[in-house]
Order: sequence, then C-alpha cells, then structure tokens
Amino acid sequence: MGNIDREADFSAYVRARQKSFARFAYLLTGDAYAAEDLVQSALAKAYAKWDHISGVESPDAYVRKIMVNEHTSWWRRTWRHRERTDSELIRVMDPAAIDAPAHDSELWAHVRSLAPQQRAAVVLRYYEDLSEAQTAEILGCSVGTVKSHTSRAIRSLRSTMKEVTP
Amino acid sequence: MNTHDREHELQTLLRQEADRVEVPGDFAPVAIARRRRDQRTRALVGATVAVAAIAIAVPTVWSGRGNAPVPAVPSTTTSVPSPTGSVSTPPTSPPRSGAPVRAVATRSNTYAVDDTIRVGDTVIRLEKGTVVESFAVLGNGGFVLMSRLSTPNAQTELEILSPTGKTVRAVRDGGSYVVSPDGSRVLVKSGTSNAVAVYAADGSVVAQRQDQREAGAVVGDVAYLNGDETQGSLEWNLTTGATRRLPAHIVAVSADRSRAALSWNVASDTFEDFCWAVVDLSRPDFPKTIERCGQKGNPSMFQPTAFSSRGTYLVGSHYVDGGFWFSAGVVRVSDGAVVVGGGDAARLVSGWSWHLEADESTVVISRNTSTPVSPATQNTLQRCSLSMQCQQAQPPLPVKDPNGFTEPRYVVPR
Repeated sequence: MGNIDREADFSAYVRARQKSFARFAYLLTGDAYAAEDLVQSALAKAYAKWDHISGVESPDAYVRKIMVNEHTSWWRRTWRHRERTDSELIRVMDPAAIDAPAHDSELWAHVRSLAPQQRAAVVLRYYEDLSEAQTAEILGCSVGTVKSHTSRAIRSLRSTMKEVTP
Repeated sequence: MNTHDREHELQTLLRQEADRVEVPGDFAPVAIARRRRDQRTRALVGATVAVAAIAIAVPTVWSGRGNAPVPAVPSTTTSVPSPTGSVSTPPTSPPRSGAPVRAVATRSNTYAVDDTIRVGDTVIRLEKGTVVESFAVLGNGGFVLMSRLSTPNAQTELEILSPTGKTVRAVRDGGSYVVSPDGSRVLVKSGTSNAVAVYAADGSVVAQRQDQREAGAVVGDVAYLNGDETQGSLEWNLTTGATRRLPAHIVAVSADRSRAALSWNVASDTFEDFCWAVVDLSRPDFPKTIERCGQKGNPSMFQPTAFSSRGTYLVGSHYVDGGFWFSAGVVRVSDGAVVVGGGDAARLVSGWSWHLEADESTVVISRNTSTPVSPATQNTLQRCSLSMQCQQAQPPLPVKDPNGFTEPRYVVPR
C-alpha cells in the first residue's frame, strides 16, 4: 500500500470509529484530556502498523488493545503526567445536557478509582459487551484473570452501591 | 440487589458516561501528524566527533511535502560580512577596528532560538516564522536545516545553508538526514521515494543511488544505509561505488568506522520493546560486542542515535509515551550502563534536543525545565555534566504551544 492510499485508508477507518474509541478512552481514563491524549497516542501507534492492522479481522480489537496497554503503561509511570492537548477533539457534555436519568457521581468516582487493568476489564465486559475470552485477549491475560478482575470490581462496587442505592 | 442487578447497574452507568462523549474533531490527521512528529523528534540527538560537527541520527522519515517551495531562506540582513548573507551582529559585540568579526559556527557555539540561528554573538535570521525542527553544523561553518513555517499545514523542508545562512541546496522531498563526523558530508534519504543522495557541505552532489534503505550514517566517504532484516544494512563507498552488506538496523557508526550501533523494535501489535546493540565492523562476521533488549535488558527502552566522539558512549533517547518532550539518554558502550537519563522520575532528563560535546563529558541540552515536567511550560538551554550538574547557558523561555503540540524555543544542533 502506498503512502497516500495508506493514509486515506487509515483516515477513513479512524473517522468511522473515532467516537467509539473516544468513549472507550474516556471510560478508561475518566478524563477528557487524558482520553484525547490516549486516543491520539494509540492511533499514532496504530498508524505506524497500519499495513498489518488493516488486514486483520478485527482492527478495533487491536486499537483497543493498544489503548489498554498504553493506559496501563501511563499508570505505571506515575511521573508521566500527560501533556495538555488543546485541540478539543473530545468534548464531554454536562450530565444535565443529555437525556438520561442521573446516576450517583460517587459510583462513577468509584469506577474511576479501580486499577487500570480492573477498570479495563469492567469496561470491556460491561460497556463493550465483549465475552470473557475476548476481554482476556485484549488484556493479554487468561479468562480466569478476567473473571477475577470483574468479580473483584463488582464486589468492590457492591459496598459503594449499597451506600448510594436507597 | 443480586449480582445480575449490579452488573446491569454498572452497564447503565458506563453507557450513560460514554454517551456524554462527543467527538467534534477529526483524529486521523492528528494521529498521523503525531506519529510523524514523534519519529522526527526522536532523532534530535547527536554525538560529537570532530571539530565543528556532527555524527548522527536515527533516520526520521516524514511524508513528502509535495511541490511546496522551501521556506527557510535568509530574510533580513542588517550588517556584515557576506554580501549574500543574512547575518547581523548585535550592538553588544561590535566588531573591532571597524572590521566585522563573525564567529565560525561549531557545534559548541551554535544553537537556534525561534527563527534564528545563533553563532556566538552573531544572529543568522531565517525567514520570519520559521520553526527549526532540527539542524546540524557543517565542517565549513554552514548548516543542515530541517524546518517549516509556523503557519497551519506548513510542510517540513530540508536545506543545506552556507555559513551566512544562504540556501545552497534545497533538498526536495528530503525525509531523513545524517551528517558525517567531520561535517563534510550529508546523507539524505527521500521521504517519498527510494532516492538516496550524499551532498558536500557546499551543497554539491557527491553520490546518488536508488535504495529502499534509510539513512544510517556517513563517515568520510563511506555511507551506511539502514535496512531491515530482509535487506540488511549497506556499506556504500562513495568514491568507488562499491557496496557491502552489513547487519540490519544500523543507526550510527563510530568515527573510526570500526563499530556500528544497531537499534530495532521488537515487534508486537501493542507493545513497543526496544533493543540496541553494537557490532564489530572490523570482523567479517560482525559479532555483537553488546546487546540490550526488551523489558529486562533495556527497561528504559533506550534508542541510540550516535556514538560519542571517542566511541565511549552512545547518545540517544529513552522512550516516553506520546509526550511532547523527550527523554535524553547516554549509555556506556562497554557495559550498557545508563549514564544519563532513565525511565523513572528520579533519573528523567526531559528535553527536546541534545548532544554530547567532543570532550565526552558535557551534555548540551534544550531542556524542559518546567515543574512538573508536564505539561511543559518552560524551556532552557543548559550545559550539564554527565552527572547532570547543569549550568544555564541561555535564559528560560516559555514554550510554544501551537495546536496543542508543545514546542521548544531552543534547538541544539545535532
């Protein structure tokens, strides 16, 4: 694939999938700026390997995998505060602006407090609706580890949900 | 509430949060630009070898810039000395006896700030609004300049400049370049084709060939092209045209041509593990004298770009995820010990461009002196020992932040 074709192919793919990736990144990071940085960084890596990724059955899974690993890597390197990205590619609307019943912010805060791998497991299983096997593939771990991550996350949320649910 | 209810509650929560996210922009050009910029900037490191010059760098490929004209030409001239030049000497250093005195550029006395190149007290003005991405000082006091204009969507251009800043060669579609230790040769690989060319410091063409490999190194009249495992690297005698296949992934060659540094990626679709090694070019089987690989052997993911002047060290960068600054690194060739920088906060040396001087003990760095280091706000030119005892060479300046990409004010020659 020539450079021009490659760029056009990659751009078309990104434009079709960027909202999905942005939402996934936001759930992983819990922060609009970090999510934007994560999507940019992951897509930049994906572009570098686009000749390969574009040929696989599920490019989305590859990109999600890059995002999960990238985010985990950031978290491990606690000194690396992500750079500011001012291009406003991602906008997170105020909860009042969307037509949905409000949930308790404490519960969301608790989800955000989960360790990255645990949070990624929760997001992949309960937001992306992936199977345990698919989640394990993206996280690079066993199905047993996925079960462990999600059950622990649910358990840890249980007490919070008891507190916030009447 | 049973487990199913809890899972349902969690699912609802995640979907509600996700629904808040909108994407009004286009990630594609940003991601592509980020990858290219990342590749380019990682090569902004240099080693020292001889008098005025440079050895360098990892090939950095950027896309072709079409047919746009070269932007960075000298613009304003206030005084002295060349009739074709664009050089001015500030009032603080008036020429003695009425005769203009202008320092000859060397790597030690030269840096760029904004759209100027400073050689001692002499200011060489580039076209207004020029952003210097990288540059090198040549043996004749001239320069290799990779730059673009600060206007949106400006294309990066590569030029060879005379000592007064006049363009003597605009390298069309130049994608990556390296300069010989004595500053006499510039090896350029096209960003859009297989064209490889070697230029003299005066801009004249020394040799050309068609090759898929990238620019690896040039030492004297021998060029080294960096190829992958299938192609291998190539030694190319510029005088005779003779070639010899060498190990893959050559990114630097020592000034005596006895050793080559290799740098490569351990490919996986998600992780980026990096390896480096040094091979003995004097033996026919090119044995590795040292190799550091993967998370255990090379935990900071060091990527060499050049040998130091006497070949004691490799200069390069440690890996940083997606940041808008880079992590300076120097490792000792004999045992792979990390001498400067590293992957943790305590050892991090954040900056944008740097080189190791000919004394092999002074690091000159365009450093990120922000606290905390991210987001970067401040840029200072420093001279540091290998133990990172630093002196300020030029005062701190606020960084530029065009379009969300933090950019330094100072650029250190390769």
